[in-house]
Amino acid sequence: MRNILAIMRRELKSYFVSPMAYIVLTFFLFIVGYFFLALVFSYSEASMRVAANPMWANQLNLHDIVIRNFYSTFGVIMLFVAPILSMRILAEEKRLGTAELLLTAPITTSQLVLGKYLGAFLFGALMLLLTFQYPLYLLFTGAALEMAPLLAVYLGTLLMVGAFLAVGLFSSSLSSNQIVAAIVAFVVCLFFWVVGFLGDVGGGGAGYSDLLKAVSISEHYEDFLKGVIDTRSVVYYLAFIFFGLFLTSRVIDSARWR
Amino acid sequence: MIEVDHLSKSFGGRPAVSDVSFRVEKGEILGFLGPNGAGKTTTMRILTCYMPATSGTARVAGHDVFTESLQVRRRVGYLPESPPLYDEMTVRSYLDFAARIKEVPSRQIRSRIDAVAAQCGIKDVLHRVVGHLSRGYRQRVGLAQALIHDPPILILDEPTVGLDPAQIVEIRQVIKSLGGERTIIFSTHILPEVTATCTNVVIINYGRAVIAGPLSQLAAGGGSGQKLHVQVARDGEAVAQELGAMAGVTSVGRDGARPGAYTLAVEPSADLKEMIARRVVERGWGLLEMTPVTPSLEDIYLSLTGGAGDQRDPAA
Repeated sequence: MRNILAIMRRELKSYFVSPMAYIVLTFFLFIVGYFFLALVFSYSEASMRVAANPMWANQLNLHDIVIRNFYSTFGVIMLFVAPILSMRILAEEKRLGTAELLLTAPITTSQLVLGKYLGAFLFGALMLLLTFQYPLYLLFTGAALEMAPLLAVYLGTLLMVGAFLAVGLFSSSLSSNQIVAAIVAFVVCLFFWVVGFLGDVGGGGAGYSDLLKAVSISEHYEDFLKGVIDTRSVVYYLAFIFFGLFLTSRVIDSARWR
Repeated sequence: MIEVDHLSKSFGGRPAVSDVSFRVEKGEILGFLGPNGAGKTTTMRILTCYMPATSGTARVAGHDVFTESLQVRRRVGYLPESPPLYDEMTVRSYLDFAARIKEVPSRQIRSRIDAVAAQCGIKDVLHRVVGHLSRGYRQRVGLAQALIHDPPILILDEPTVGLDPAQIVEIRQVIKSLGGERTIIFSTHILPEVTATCTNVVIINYGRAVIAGPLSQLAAGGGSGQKLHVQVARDGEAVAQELGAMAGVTSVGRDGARPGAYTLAVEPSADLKEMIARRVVERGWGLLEMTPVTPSLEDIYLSLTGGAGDQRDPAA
């Protein structure tokens, strides 16, 4: 346990000693801040219209208009950011030769993978935490923001970021080239993001389209965005993460044999 | 302490190490000699559990490197050929990290860092960022990392490569000071390094252990004896004849084109040198120079492969 924490701490720290964390966080906060502002404006415009036409009042929902759209955008941004966060994790160790330190230290491969993953995951969680300021602003203005659906959104977003980073960690284990690792991670994440859209297009029968939706990261994310915690979606993400970490440790172990 | 039995490793069918066997007892310093690409690094990587062997077994501190890998890794300090350093960390935080993943108890980490820093001479740079250190300091930080968990066994892969002569001497002294209580294997392709620090030697080439034994045995050169270079002022036929007739001198040869320069193959003994010197002076040939010729790695190496063939000494 101690060595998992040691690896996690070093991994998390390494984001902040390089310019990476600051660049990523700056652009990230700029983009999501802009989106939040735009969404709040569109909500207030909608409220004006509702004020003129009170019959539509029950359609005006702060969660649906602001929170849901905001975190939907967050998901798309993470699709691009997660591969950048995770590309370094193992690829850099191999390139620098520090893998030799880690693989000859008295730690198991699973401990190594878990420590590495948790380090990246905490950084992803930090990014999510930073966006918590926006719902807070809404609460300060006295807006009627429901807490339960918000909680579901946060749980879902955390799980989705976790899934992205598991893919990223896996692709980082495949290469000693960070760019290759980032591209592979992005392509795989993108595949799982859009594969649900194919289900909407149809063709191949209902069972086929259900299957496509069932393996899609974005489809499961939709549930959480609506404020629904579906056990199936929770299990889906946890299984996704577990599988990613399992494959990563297999890759590391098999590299020893070559 | 370390038992290697018929160890082989091939990469995709190409053998890197084949059928290597040797033993290292507690407290010995083993020099692992061989030209580049001979299989030194591969053997060391197997011993440190970085990669498994294709066949054969290796036991370190009584534990099998494959089946009891974690036990072995707890007891081995390893410095790879390029020190495994994180450039963005400070030396202290790097050693702290190394201590944590090597299971040093939290309360002892501080004192261990201070101890290895003193041992490796990096006290002054503990607060500095690793990426800004010179090559010599990087090597020492790497060595400190290997020592941080106070391992009974040290495996060092070319610890002196790329260092300047003063740094090489320093690192050698550190290694020598660590011997005795610790069992050390270090690889090199520089012969004087071995004679300066080691008690035992394994020579490896093309993945095969050519000889394994105590240094004294290697110095005897597989029976070829020592060589002496003698330079006299007044040359003559008698010089070669008379020197050649002396007991203990096995052969006399002209050394190059210079007149009066001879190479003598002699049995190792201090008295013989004195006798040769006295004889030359008595005859009035004018002794200008007498130097023992240190056999180069190539010399020993060639004499061993050519003379003794596939010699392996399991008792080493």
